[in-house]
Parts: sequence; structure tokens; C-alpha cells
Amino acid sequence: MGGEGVETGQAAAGQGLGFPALARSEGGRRLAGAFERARQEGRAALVGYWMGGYPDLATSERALVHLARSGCDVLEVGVPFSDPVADGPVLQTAAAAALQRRVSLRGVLEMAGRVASPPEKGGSGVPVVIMTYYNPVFRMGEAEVARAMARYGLSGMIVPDLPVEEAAGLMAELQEQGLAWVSLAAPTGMSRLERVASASDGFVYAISRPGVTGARDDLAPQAKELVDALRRSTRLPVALGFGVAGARQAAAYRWADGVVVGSAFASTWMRAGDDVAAALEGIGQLASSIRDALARPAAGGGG
Amino acid sequence: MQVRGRSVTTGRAPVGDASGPAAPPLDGVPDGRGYFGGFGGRFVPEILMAPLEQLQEAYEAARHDPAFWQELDGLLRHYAGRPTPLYFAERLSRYVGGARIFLKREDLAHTGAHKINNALGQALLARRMGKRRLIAETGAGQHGVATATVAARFGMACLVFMGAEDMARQHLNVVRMRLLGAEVREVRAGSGTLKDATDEAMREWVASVADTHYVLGSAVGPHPYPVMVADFQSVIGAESRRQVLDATGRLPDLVVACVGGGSNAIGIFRGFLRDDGVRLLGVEAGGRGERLGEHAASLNRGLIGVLHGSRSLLLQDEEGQIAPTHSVSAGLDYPGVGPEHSYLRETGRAEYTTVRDDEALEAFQLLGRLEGILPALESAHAVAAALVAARRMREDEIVLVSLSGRGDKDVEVVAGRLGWLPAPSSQRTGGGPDGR
Repeated sequence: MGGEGVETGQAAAGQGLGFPALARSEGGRRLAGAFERARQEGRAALVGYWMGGYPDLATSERALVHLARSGCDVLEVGVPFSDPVADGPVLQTAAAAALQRRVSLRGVLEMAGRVASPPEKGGSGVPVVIMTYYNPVFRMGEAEVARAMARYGLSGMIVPDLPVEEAAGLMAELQEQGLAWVSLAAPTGMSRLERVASASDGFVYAISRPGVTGARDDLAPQAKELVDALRRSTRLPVALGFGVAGARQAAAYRWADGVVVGSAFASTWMRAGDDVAAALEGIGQLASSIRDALARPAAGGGG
Repeated sequence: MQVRGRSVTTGRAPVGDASGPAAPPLDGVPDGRGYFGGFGGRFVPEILMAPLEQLQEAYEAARHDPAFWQELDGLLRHYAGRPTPLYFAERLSRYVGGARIFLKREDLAHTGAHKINNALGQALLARRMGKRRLIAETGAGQHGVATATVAARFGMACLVFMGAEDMARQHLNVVRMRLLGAEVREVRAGSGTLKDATDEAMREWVASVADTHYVLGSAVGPHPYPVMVADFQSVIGAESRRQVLDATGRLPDLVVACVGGGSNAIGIFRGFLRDDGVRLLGVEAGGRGERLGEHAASLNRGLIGVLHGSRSLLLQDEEGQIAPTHSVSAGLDYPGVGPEHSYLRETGRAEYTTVRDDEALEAFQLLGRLEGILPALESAHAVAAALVAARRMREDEIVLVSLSGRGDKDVEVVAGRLGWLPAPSSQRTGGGPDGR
């Protein structure tokens, strides 16, 4: 259960070259670099997910930049889809609201590009990955999506309903554009970790428990076993997601190289009603508190 | 030999020698990755990949195990009432004035539809895999009832997901499922129809895959579901083929079946895939118009895409968002279709047409008045298309129709359409007075 005294990315990253040396693409290097910086600072990285176009495109851009300024090292921008089978009720609601406003994949990519731009241009300056279901990508065309992502300065892509077996074409297009394919790994698929991890670039996204996205109160009992097994298959950083609700759990998972938080930000926003200023403040505070909880105790010292 | 107005059975086992699927697919499909040409595959969250590999292994083992098929054969006969009759619809044929129309009476199978064939097969498989709980999606409720039925029969827990709109229009089946001991969970998301029930069933499966088997109700979904469901439903085709030969001494000229996801259609087509002289016609829901959102005609008007685990033809907008659908029949009200149908359409082995709501309602009434058989609204689509085709054919030709289910569940919907019912209270808006 507890993560005290477990091996961190320190050893996993190998001979002092750090995570970026393991990347296969420019985007992968940017993503790995964000984990490397966190590691150097003695903490796990915070990956913040936000639904592109929720509550509308312009406001989602503000939310994302604010999340980065409040402590997120990497941003995941969701693309709303009509049938998000890997998502729980909170992100389903966010997706439906975004689609009500007829948000398009291209529109989200463009917005994500502005988020990825440097702070002096009003952006976040942190690497951005796109998280999208496959059908919108298939419809627009894998090559076209990859080209657009490269043009907008994005770093990589996660596709929750596209297993590596079906992803060869998309992986090649992303690679060609200098972008990372980020694999998901699941506790129900221990036999597949080698295949999944070797396909990944930048980092590996480990799903902490069977189920859909959404904040949970408890800790996932299989998370530790999964991440340990992944580290035997890859030296890439491993980020743990699905069910991380707040600082308490983040602290319990800080032995991972990073944690992903999504639904908790969205539900915090929803609780603020239509008060955008209060909502922004709410997600900023949550991000800061989680980031603080991800700091690892100094070697030999107590937390 | 002509047999009029009574059923024809051979007295033989419904599934041939009961040592494998009743009728096999075409050679070379699906391939090892579950592809029928360019359609099929396995597009699911990573959490489900290893469980699907295990399901495929378990099914492969069962498929080559005569004991599995013998047990299924016994259940199909003694529990589900197979073989179902082949019935020569003499008055309907005379009314049309063309080809002779035969009905494969899946409406007479236990639970009132073909869905029981697949539910029994999957329940046996689930038991082999040590799963104690079944989940399912349902549109019209027939697959939900079939799954609740086999769960009761095997002493398994059962949870069925059903869209809110479908629960209202197929209320009788909701009651049946609950009486059979199943939990029926309402799905309010999206359009509250079969697509949304399927989304929710997949989410539940992702969370509970360790002890739960997902009894997918149609020939859709990730590999191995499309081929497995077709294998279990191929008993329809194998029986029909034998029965038509026994009754008439020849094969039918045309086989007609409705297509939502496409399981009854693939089941009856399987019996005739290799008979090049037999035309195969699938009938999709033409709904109330040709614009996106007014019908459920994926094969006729869809584009290739990925939904619910496989690549197939799909009703979607230019952004790749899944389009809303409409059909008077809940079982056809679905934006996707099984990959094998997309393949059969592409290769030209089967043709696909559409029948509108009003045409299906007309066929529903006609079959009742002329033959004393009320078909499911889904099946009525096949009847309507068969009437059109038979009219253009010669009297020595034969049309075989898959009468996939019975119409009890639909009488309220039909009565509503005919103006025989007061408007249901759910259509009156709640709330206070609106000040005129």
C-alpha cells in the first residue's frame, strides 16, 4: 500500500541522462523533460486534464493556462466525444456541454496550441498532450491530425479506445511529425505491459484501477503492483491516473513519477456554478494543494 | 412437396451434428485480428484488452469442444423450443400475388425473439469462464429479457442497461426483466436509446471485468463478439435452409431480415452465404426521413468509423461525432452495424435497403390481419421489404423472411400511432400553469 521508501524514478531513469534521453520524438522529449524537472525537484509531476471546449472554448483555454500556473507540469487537453465509454459522469457532462457548443477537433487543437505557447505569448509554456477518442481522429484523418498538432506545437496524443494493436498507422504519423504516442497501461493487462510500454513515448499513463475516469475516495490497491511491473518493462516515467481526487491520494501516490488529475478539477469547477472567477480560483487551489502533496520527503527524513 | 399452413420440422437436432457452430462464416473471415476485410477489429480501452484475449481463448476452446455444443443444443431444444417452425404464409403470399413467402418463426422461441439463442450460448461460455454475473445492454428489451432469462436459469446475477426512452416505449419488457430477477438500470445520457445503453454497459464492464461477462446482444462490438454472436445465431440459418429444402425441395431465391446491429440477419444469412443463387437482403430502419437523425440506416447512409469496439459503417457527422438516430422500433434504433454486414455489403454478397416507420407499421398490421401473427416492429421492417420484393417475383419463386421476434412488446406503441390510446402522461409537460 504505502509508498514510503520505494524506489522513485531516480533509478528508473538510468545513468544520469534522465527521462528525456529515452524519448523517440521531440514531443516525447518535452513530456519526459517535464517529469525530469519534477524528479530533480524531488517530487512527482502533476498532469492536469481539462476538457477542451468546456464550458466553452475560450474559457477552457483560461482554465488550462491557470492549471499550469497553479502547478501542473503537463497538460492533457480532452476532445469532447459523443460516446466517451472510458469516462465517468463528470467528464461525460463536460463533454456533452462542450458538444452543445459545437466544438470541433480542429478548434480544440488550435486552442491547445495557444495553451502550449510560452507564457510571454499568454500560454502556459508546459507540454500539452491531446486526449481524444479515436473516431474524430479517424474522420479527420490520422495524417492531417498529426500535421495540425505539430503546427500548433503540441507534444503528443493519448487515445483511450485505441489499443496498440490498432494504432500502428497513427503512431507512424505522430512519429513523422515529431509527436509522442502515449500508451495507457491497465492493471487487468499485466501480460501486455511489455508491448504497451515499448510502444509509448514521453511517458506511460498507468490506469490505477479497472473502471472509468472519476475521483474516488479510496486508494487503488493494484496501482503499486502495476507501476512496479511497468518499471520492469520501461525506464520511461510512469504517471498514475483514474481516481485521484485530491491532495491526500496524491501524497499516497507520490512514489509514481507523476499523477494525472482530471475529474476532480472538472467537478470543482462545476460546483462554482457560473462564477468563472470563483471556478478558476477553485481549480487553482486544488492544483496547488496536489502539487504540494507530491513533494517526496527528503531521503532519510520523515514526511 | 408443398406444405401449407403448418410448420415443417425435420425432427433432427437444431444444430446439425452439434459439434460446432450450426453454419460457418465465409472462408478467411474474420482473420486472426477479427477483421472482415476492412471492418471489425478491437477498439476498446486498454482495461478490456486482456479480458477480450481471454474471452477469445475461452471461445476458441468452446468452439472446438463438442460437449459445449451438445449442451447448447440440449438447451436450445428443451428450454428455448428449437427448432422454430418454418411457416408458409399462404394468405400473405396470395395477397401480394408474387413469390411464395415463408416465415422463420423466431417469434416462437422462448422469450419471444431470436435473442435467446445468443444469450444461452454466451451464458454457457460465461459459466465455463467462471463468471458469476452477467451484464447486458438492451434496446427493445428482447435481449435484456433473454439475458435475464438465462441468468435466472444458470443462477447468475444480472444487470441490464436500458435507455430511458426505450424503458418508456418498451415498458412491458422492463417488467419482465424485473420479474426474472434482473436489475434494470435506466440510462439517461445522450438520446436514452440503445447506443447510450451500450456505452453504459461498456463502462460497467470496464469496472467489473474480473467477475462479470458482458453478454453483448448483437453481432457488433470488439472481436470476438461479432463472430461469436453470429455463430450462436447461425442456428437460424442452418434450420431454415434444411426446412426450406424439406418443404419445397429447393433453396429460397431471396432471404430477408431486419438489421439493427444485425444478429438475426447474420444468423439467417449464415445458412446461405455459399449459395450464390440465393439473394440476401438486409433491411434497415428508414425512420421518418433521409436526413441525419431521422433514420438508423448505417449501411445505406453511414460512413466508416469506430464505435463500441469495431470499425464498421456508422451514422456520424463530419466531425466524427456519433449522430442521433430514429426508428419506431427500439431494436433498430442504433447508429452502428456489425462489421460482417459492412463486409457483405462491400463484397456485394448481401444487399441492404431501408423501410420507413409507416411502412413497417403497415406490415405489422397486415401480418396480423392476414396471418394472425403480430411481429415485432423490428421484424415488421423485414416483412415490409419482403412484400415489395415478392410482388416483383414469379409465383414459383421463394422468399424467406426472418421473423425475428413477436410483437407483444410493441402493441402500445402501435396503438399510440393508430390513435387508440390517450396520450401518455409522460408527454405532458410537468410544472405549473404556463399562463396560457
